[in-house]
Amino acid sequence: MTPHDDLAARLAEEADRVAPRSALDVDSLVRRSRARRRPALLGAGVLATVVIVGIGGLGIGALSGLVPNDLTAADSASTVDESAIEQDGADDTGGGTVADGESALAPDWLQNRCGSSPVTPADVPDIGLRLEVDFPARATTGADAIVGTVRVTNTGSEPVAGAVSATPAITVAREGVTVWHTSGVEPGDPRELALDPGESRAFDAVLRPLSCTIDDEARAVDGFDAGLASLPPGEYAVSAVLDITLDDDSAARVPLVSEPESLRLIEPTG
Amino acid sequence: MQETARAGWEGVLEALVTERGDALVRYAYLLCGDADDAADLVQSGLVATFGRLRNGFALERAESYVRRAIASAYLDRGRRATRWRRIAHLQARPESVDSSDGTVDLHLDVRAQLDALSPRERACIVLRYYEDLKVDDIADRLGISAGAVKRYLSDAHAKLADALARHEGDVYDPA
Repeated sequence: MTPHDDLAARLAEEADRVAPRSALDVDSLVRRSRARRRPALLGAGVLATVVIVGIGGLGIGALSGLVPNDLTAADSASTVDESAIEQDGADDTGGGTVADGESALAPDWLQNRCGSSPVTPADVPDIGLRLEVDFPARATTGADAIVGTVRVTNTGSEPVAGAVSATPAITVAREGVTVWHTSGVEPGDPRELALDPGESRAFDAVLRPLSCTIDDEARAVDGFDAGLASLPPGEYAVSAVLDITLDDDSAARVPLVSEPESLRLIEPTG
Repeated sequence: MQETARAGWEGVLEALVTERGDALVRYAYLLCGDADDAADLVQSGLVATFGRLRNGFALERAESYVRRAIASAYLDRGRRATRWRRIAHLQARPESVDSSDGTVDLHLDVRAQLDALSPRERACIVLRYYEDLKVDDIADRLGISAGAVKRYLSDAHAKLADALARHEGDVYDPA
């Protein structure tokens, strides 16, 4: 038995020793979850923690000149969208918080790893916030960086408050397969975000038209190694992932995912 | 009133509790070391997750989300020691302390050594050896760098080595 197996076995034995004494009460959990669904959008309370999108692109130094200290705000004319969150909250029997500051969990299935299929808005909870990317529709291959924006819009009927990561995570995909994503950037300080219904805010974001592979992903520790090949000319899809830590008693982190936007890479002229 | 079959996210929640509830409690127990706190962590994770989960979410992903919420809650509670019943679980061990049984001693020793780890060290150990996640996956789940995970694992191994070696009669080498 290897040391790995040995420790794994001992942990499993230890875990098996705990007979779940307090059976999980589904009815109670449903009631509490229902109650949580409504106040989640109210945005009251104190901003608790920090967020993260655990991936970033060019190194924080390179980004420092691209990402403003304050979010740029822009009222949008977004209409109130339907929210998949039921508004049937009843009693709130409380429950522990799931605040997350230092741990900054980012679901691994949202990382859009090289070679994987990018996540879509349908893969994440709908909390009445829409994420959109806005990058140039055309850019040249070999460009060092392409600058765009990522916009968060409150499509719900209630104000939303929270904190978002300083750096949106961008994914570039071709034919449904991730060919590049932001990587290696420290999350930076979180930014407070408070959006009334219909209001939106924009973040600067960058992408690099480079091609990564599963092997590049495996080698990446603090970001991709230098020397990734440029993406060839063609049609690509650009999307973004951004976490928000809601300013409510749960301080729960919720990932936002944008629909993809088209990017055509062309050969540089001249 | 008779409960009717649940639909949508409520159905996923019910299925998750029914099918994976015990596994979630065991996972939380390894993280926090206390059965009651484990149940609290699981309930908190479920409520936090399903308090925002919309319909159509697959059970597997919902479980992944809940496990993440549990780890997050555990680490958060670790930072907020005043809200954490650390003393209680150190003082009130689960039953079954039949001395002279080497197996029991080992259980107690392993548990004591786990308790001696920092929250992040413990989380890394549990995710690595109980959840069988790779370093990169642990980093993803905890939102820290792979390098940090390696450091936490290394430190934890050093602390665990003493206890494990005592029962193996040799030096525990996790490498």
